[in-house]
Amino acid sequence: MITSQQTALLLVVLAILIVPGISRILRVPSMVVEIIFGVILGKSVLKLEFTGEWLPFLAHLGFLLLMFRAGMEIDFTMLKRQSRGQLMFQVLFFMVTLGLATLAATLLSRGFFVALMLSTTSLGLVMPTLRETGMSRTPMGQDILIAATLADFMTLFGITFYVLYIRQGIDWRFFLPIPLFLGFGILLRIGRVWVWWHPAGAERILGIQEDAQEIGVRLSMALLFLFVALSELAHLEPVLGAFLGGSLLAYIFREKPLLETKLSAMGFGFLIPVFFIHVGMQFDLTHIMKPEMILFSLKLLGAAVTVKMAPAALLLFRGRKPREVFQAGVLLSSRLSLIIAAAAIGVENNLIKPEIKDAVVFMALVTCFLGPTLFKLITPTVGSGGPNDVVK
Amino acid sequence: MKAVICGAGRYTRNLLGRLGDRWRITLIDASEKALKELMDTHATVAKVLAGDAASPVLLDKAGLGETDYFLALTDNDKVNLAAVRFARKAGVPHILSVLYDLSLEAKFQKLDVHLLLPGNMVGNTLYHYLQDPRIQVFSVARGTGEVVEIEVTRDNWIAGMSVTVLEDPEWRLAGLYRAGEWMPLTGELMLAEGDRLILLGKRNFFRSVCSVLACGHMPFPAPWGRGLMIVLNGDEGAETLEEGMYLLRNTRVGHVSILYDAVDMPDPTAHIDRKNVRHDIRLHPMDGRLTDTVKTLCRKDQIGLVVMRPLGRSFLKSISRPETIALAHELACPLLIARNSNPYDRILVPFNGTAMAALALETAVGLAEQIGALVDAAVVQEPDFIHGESRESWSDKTFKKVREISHIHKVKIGEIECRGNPVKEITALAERYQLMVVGSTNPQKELLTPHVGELLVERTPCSVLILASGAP
Repeated sequence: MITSQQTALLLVVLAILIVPGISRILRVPSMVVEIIFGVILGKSVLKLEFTGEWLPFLAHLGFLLLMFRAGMEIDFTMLKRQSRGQLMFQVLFFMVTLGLATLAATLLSRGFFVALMLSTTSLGLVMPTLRETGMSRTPMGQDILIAATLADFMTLFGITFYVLYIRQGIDWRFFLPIPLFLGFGILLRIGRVWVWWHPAGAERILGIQEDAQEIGVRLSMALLFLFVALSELAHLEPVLGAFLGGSLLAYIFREKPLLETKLSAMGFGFLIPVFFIHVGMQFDLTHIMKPEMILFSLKLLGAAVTVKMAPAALLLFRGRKPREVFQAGVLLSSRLSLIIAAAAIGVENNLIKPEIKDAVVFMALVTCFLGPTLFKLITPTVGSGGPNDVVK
Repeated sequence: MKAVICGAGRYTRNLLGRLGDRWRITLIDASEKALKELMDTHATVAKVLAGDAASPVLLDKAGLGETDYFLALTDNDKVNLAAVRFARKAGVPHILSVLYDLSLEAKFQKLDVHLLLPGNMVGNTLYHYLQDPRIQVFSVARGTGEVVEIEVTRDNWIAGMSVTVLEDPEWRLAGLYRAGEWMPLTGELMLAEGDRLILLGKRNFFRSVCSVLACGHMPFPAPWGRGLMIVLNGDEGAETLEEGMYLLRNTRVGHVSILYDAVDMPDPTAHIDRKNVRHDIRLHPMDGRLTDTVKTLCRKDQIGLVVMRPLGRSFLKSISRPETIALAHELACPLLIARNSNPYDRILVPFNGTAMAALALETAVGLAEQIGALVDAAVVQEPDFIHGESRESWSDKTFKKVREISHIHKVKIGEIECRGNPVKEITALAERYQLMVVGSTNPQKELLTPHVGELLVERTPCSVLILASGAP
């Protein structure tokens, strides 16, 4: 049924308004409710079709902002504190995950792209869950955070270059992103040095000093679109640009709670929910309701959990207890934004079929709900005893 | 022997207990009870007079004309002064008085009275105890001089050196006691652990002795070496030489090595006032690369401090390497970048709590003791977004370390707290100082990353002393 823009706008705004209340009552993440709301509106249930380009545009903008915020979540101070041995361990952790994901993709008769998708995790879910349980600064929490950061970073790069390779093979255009990365590296340094020399100016950007012009928000938006534009020029995925823009901000400003609050208000308050509703609307339940697709979805879910749970066993070599290994595996199994983005990219480049994308969205919905919930159930909060030896 | 004693207090009581039968004592005091008690317990007390000790009538009754000694031991300086004045008029040959208020010292000295200064003696003893309980100090020459007895310990830097290292304008070595014997004081005599040194000097020279010999601290720059190297590397060679000579006069330096360009400056000694410099001066014409020559001579001449003008700046080199700091790390001793800001009345130490910063602060304190300067430690708190973690209590912890060093050295260290960029804040502060002492931990720099130490050395308007290594 074709619906007018006005009705669609009313429905989406209403959803954005009531979803936080519903998610609180149901005790599930609000993004899950938003996707389900989109599923009800879209192809699967009410089959509403909205006219105009505004919803896809806002959803895309929300998605870019989500990736920008994911980049901002990277804790470079924590990464710098890690010894070479610890970082090597984390690289090994990711390589084992990718190896197992490749094996799983082969067993599912899928290509390397599915392996890359399975290797993702959701830093956006891992970080708040660890903070909520008071574990973000414990050695265990740090191990999980670094694993999630590396998984997000490496898979994003992997997906970008894999798509580039599929599109044009290995020729001079494959190396076009190199100047972008070099420029990114130089910008990192220059930005950090500028902040070091001009702390008062930096405080204005971060909102620590009163600034009615909101220079920090303007700078963040400029960075987001600059990197998106640059990645388009280098034939890279815009999500990578958005992620790099966010990580640039995270590298330059190591503590930025006020700016994060402002960007979150703009992103999580409106644009990002629109993205999740749009994802839900694109989801076609009939795709995964076929017996063979139900089986495939279950296998995909099993693979998604296994490729994270099995490498987590490596933590035993770092002196972690079996229960902690289970905790890490459960939380790292959570997927959401990046895997959905990867699925969209896969469909766009004919690397996966639309029904596989829907199976991936289904898997993301299940893991993003179960991962953090199970983790919280088996994790004692700080102060009640347990493994939360705070990092000094 | 006959003696008249004014006052029947603690000193008199103590003295009477020591005197033998040969003494015939007359006591004067206002307290009849105290007089009676002393008369009953000490056979030497022949006569007691109750009343005001300053009264000429009472003193006359005491028979001053026949007495050999007159001791004014009351707790009132004015009474003592009046009494000794009367005794001097009466022609008593030996007069002694206690004196509490040092402002009256001249009046007593005019009467040629032997003085005991209990407040000074107790204060000195307490002070010496707080400074270093291993040192004993005795007042001599009516309080105008002091004898200091000090033991050479294993960790004392003079152990193993010739007695000539003790030559100093403020004191002289009067004796050396070793294993039950007094040693002859010849130039060949080497100091050893367990030696007891007897030093003689003016009143209060103890502090100077402590800064040089004892308290476990070697005077700057002795921990690194006894020599001072002055490098005449810039256009302002005479100024560098002058700053070097200032250090020579005010620190415990044994010899001087001057490295100069024989073409530009044929005879640097022409600029040295020979009357005021009694040190061994060694001249070294520049040969080869400046930094290589400095490094070689440092090792050869046992140099403890290198003084030189700032190195010429090269943009390309400065991108990749902090040149001055790297040189300081290559040398086995501190490096002073001279900007002719002597005399050093105020010393600034940027302090961030690291071991090298602590060494810089301790060195600054040691140097300040020798040259009579004030030391301030500046802590710059950078905003949280630079380091990514809350540093709320960081400055408190850092100042705690400053206070620890202050306590160990018994020296007041000024505390300055700033917020912002460390280079900007410190260089702005340094305008009010004549010397900055910097501890450096890192001789390397990352590309496009500022090196705080190098920037401080470059931008500070005053002279900068760089410490990049502990004593060998």
